[in-house]
Amino acid sequence: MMAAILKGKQLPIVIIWIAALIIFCNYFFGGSALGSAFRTLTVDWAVLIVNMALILGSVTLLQRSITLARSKNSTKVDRFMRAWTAFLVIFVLILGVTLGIQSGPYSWMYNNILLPSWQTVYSIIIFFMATAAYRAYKANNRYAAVLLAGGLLVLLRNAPVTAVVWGGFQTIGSWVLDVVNMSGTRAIMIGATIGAISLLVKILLGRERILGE
Amino acid sequence: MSTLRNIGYRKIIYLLVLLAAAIPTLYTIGLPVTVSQQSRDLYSFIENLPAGSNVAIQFAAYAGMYPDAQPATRAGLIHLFRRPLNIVLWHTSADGPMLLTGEMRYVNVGSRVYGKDYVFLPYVAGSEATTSATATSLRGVFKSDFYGTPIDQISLMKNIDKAEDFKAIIVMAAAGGEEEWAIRQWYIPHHVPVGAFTISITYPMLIPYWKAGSVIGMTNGVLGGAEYETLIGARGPGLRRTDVMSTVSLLYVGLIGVANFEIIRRKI
Repeated sequence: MMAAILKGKQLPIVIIWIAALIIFCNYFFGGSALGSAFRTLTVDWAVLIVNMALILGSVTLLQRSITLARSKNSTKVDRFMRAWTAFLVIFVLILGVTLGIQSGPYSWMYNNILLPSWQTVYSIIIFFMATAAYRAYKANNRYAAVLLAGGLLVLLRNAPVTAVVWGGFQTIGSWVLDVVNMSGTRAIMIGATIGAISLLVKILLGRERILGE
Repeated sequence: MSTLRNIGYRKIIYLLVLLAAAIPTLYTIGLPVTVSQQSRDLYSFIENLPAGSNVAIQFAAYAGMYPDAQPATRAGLIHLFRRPLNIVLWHTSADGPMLLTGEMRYVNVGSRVYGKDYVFLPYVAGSEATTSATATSLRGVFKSDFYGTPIDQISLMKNIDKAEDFKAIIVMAAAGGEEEWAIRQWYIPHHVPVGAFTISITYPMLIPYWKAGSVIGMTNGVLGGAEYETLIGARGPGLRRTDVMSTVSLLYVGLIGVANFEIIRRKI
């Protein structure tokens, strides 16, 4: 009997119902002291779970790298790269835990290896964006022409030099951003929120696949 | 067009982009910047906060997008530390502590004392749940500051615990929707004004919130950083990079023009 309850999806649904109802009412209507305490408790649990998940994710990543490094099916280069990744993870972890993230070696590694690498990856987008603009931004039909005009106006607004040439670029570009973009963004936001509400209803009704189906 | 294709347009475009970025980097022109209303609103709000107000900073910087966020982040920190405000800062990204340490080298804290006038709390994972928890009780989330000092031993934290104790929450360098977390968890339930020093990808998404009054103001990536530097009168990486933005943006316009030339000619 107990096993059947634990295996079935009724128990998770009941737990979700109770938790959702209390948090929902407390958020929108300002609940009782007990409700507030429960909400605080569940939020603290969520923070703890996410932090534990982070540790679990790191361990799993490490475990997978070691497994692949030892795998006979991978190439030599692949095995070496996996072993190197695992070594780096362990090395940085030991460094961070023992010396602290403010320590010289850790800071040096972060500022001279990680930061420039990330920033390089981010910065080279400029080249891909240029070729993408050249290839994709074409006024092949009316709709594409409207998109092109909007894009060009915002592009010109974002270039400070255009303000020196004609102040209108800034005004029109800002109008596209503040009015046209806003209406589209609002529609997306409202759509996403309705989607989230429908997902919540599906979970509460036990129709969502995540509940062990 | 076909000649361009034969040579290999990618190579030409890459070379042009390289030149458009390199020349203004080496020879700064220093073009004036038009300050947007959003940046001005954020500046005015911080400038008009009464002395001794408690301000929360949710520092959300990631290394990857930091080039876009850096100018506004630095200018914002300079402005916030220039004013006599009590600052409580915590991190919502693992990169935050390292990036903040780098930025604080450019911030003149003057006679402000750590622990009395400002406090740095550590990084805690948990996304929006953490933002929600901080609004209810900072002590519930943080037991000690970034340097390991217990919260109870920090004089500034004696009368600070929940969202209502703050006059504003400023979200810095966010790329993952942290501003929306602050709006949902701090502004809507606790009515704490939200300001944002954000990157250009997030900026258009925040405009509806700004129009609705949920966000007091925000900056727009490097350009917003340059605007904020103009407002606080401290030249920094933003104003240096706007020349590059101008040349590269004009190059993009030129490339789009070349790509569309054939289509327009055919239609005419």
